[in-house]
Amino acid sequence: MLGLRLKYDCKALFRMVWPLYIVGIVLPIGIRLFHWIQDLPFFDSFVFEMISLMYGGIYFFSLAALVIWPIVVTVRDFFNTMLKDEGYLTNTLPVSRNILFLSKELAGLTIFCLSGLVLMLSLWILSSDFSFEVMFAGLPIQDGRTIGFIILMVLMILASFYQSITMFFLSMMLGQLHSLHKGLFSVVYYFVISFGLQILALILLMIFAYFVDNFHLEQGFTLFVTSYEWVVGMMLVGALTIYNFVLGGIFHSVGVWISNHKLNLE
Amino acid sequence: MSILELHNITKKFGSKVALDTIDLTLQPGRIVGLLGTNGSGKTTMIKLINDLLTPDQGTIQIDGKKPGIDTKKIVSYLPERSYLDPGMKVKEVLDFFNDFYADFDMEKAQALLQDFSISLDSRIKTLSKGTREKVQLVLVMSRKAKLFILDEPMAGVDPAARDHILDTILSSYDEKATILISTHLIADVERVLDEVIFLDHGKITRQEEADSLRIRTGKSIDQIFREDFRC
Repeated sequence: MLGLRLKYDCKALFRMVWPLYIVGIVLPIGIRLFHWIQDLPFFDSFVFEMISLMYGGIYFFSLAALVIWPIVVTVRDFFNTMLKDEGYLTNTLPVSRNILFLSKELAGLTIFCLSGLVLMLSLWILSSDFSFEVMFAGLPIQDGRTIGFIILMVLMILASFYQSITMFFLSMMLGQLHSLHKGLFSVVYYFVISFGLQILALILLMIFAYFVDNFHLEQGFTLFVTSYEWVVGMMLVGALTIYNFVLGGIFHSVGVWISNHKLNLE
Repeated sequence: MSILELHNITKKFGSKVALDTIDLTLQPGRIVGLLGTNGSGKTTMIKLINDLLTPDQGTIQIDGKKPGIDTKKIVSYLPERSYLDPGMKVKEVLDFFNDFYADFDMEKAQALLQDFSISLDSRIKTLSKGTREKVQLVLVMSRKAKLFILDEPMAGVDPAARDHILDTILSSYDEKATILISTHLIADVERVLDEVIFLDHGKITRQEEADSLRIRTGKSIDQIFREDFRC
C-alpha cells in the first residue's frame, strides 16, 4: 500500500511543482542568451542592461523557490488531503495512518530531491563550466574524506527537510485538536515547537563546545583545517543528521498517534 | 451477527454534547434512514463509524470489529462534501478507487457514469457541484461493500435527478448489504426505507420499522418527522 500511496502523493505534488521546474530550466537559457547578445551594438544600452538585471533577479528568486516551494506544496498537500475535505477520502482508505503519513513524507522528500536536481541542472545551464569540484574547491582533500563529507552533507540536508515537514505535520495535527481556530493554533504550535527545538539545540551546542574545549584546541576551532578538525566536523555533521532524523521520527510518531486517537475532522 | 453496533456512545465538542449515550444496532440487508434536524448529531455519528472522529465514551463495532483498516474495507462512505482531488480526471479517480478498494467494480462504475452522461476525461474541478456528487455516488455505489453510509446523498442535486439517484442506489447494492442514509429529504427517500432512526439533540428518539410506524400512526414518515421536530 505504501507504493500505491506514494505514487498518488508524488503525482499530486508533481502537479504543483512542474511549472517551477520549467521556469528553472528556461530562465538560465535566457540569461545565457542575454550574455551572448549584450556585446552586440544594438543591445548595448541602459534599458537592455536594466532588463537583463531584472531577468537575473527573477532567476535568483526562481532558484530560491526551488528550495522553498517543495516544503510549501508538501505542507499544503498534507493539510488539504488529511485535514480538509479530501481528508474524508484519505482517512477512510483501508490504509494505516502510519503509511499515510510516511507516504506524504517520502513524497515530499522525493520532490525536494527532484527540485535539487533541477537546481543543479539550472546552474549547469547557466555556467557551462559549473562543477562540484569548483563548488567544493575550498575544502582541502585529506585522505579522500571530501566525498564522505559531501554524502554526509546531502544526508544532513535531507534529514533537515524531513524534520521540517514532520514538524509542520505535527503542528497541524495538534492544531486540529481544537474546535475553533485550527489554523491559528497550528501556527502557534509550530512556533512553540520551534522555540523548544532552539533551546534544545543551544543546550546540545553548549555540550559540544564543552567537549571541544576538553580536547584542548589551543588555536580555537576552525573546521576542516587539521585532520583532527575534519574528524570533529564529520562527527558534528553526522550527529546533526541523526538528530534531525530522530526528531523527524518522534514528530511522525506523535502525529500518527494523534491521527489514530484524536482525529477531529471538521 | 449485526453489521453495526454502537454501545453507550458519547461525543462532546467542548461543552456541547453532540451524541449522548447512544445505543444502536443495525442488521444486514436493511435500508435505514437516519433522520434528524441540523445539529442533531447525524454527521457526528457517521464520522465516528468511519473513524474520522473518536468517541469520548462507548464502543463501536462494524461486523464485529472496531473501526480501522479492516472495517474500511467493508464500509463504503459517501460524505456530505466533495472529497475528490479537484486536479484529477474522472478516469483517474476510478483508477484510484480500483487501486485501493479490492471490492471496486470498474465496469459497473463506467456504466453508471455513462448512465449519468459524465465523461471519463472531465477534470473534477470543471464539474458542477451536482455532477461531482453524482461521481462520488457512482464511486461509492460501485463497491461490493457490506455497509453503505450515505450522508445527504441528494442534497446538491436538482429534484428531477433525485429519483434517478435513488434508483441508482437501489439497483447498485447487494441486498445482503445495509444502507444507512442520512437525509433531510425524507419525502424523497421514505418509499425505500425499511427502518427509520430519529435523532434529536444527540439522542435517538425513535428506531422503528418504517411500515409499522406508518400503519400505527396512519401518517407518512415525513409527516411524523415534521410533527416530532416542529419548532
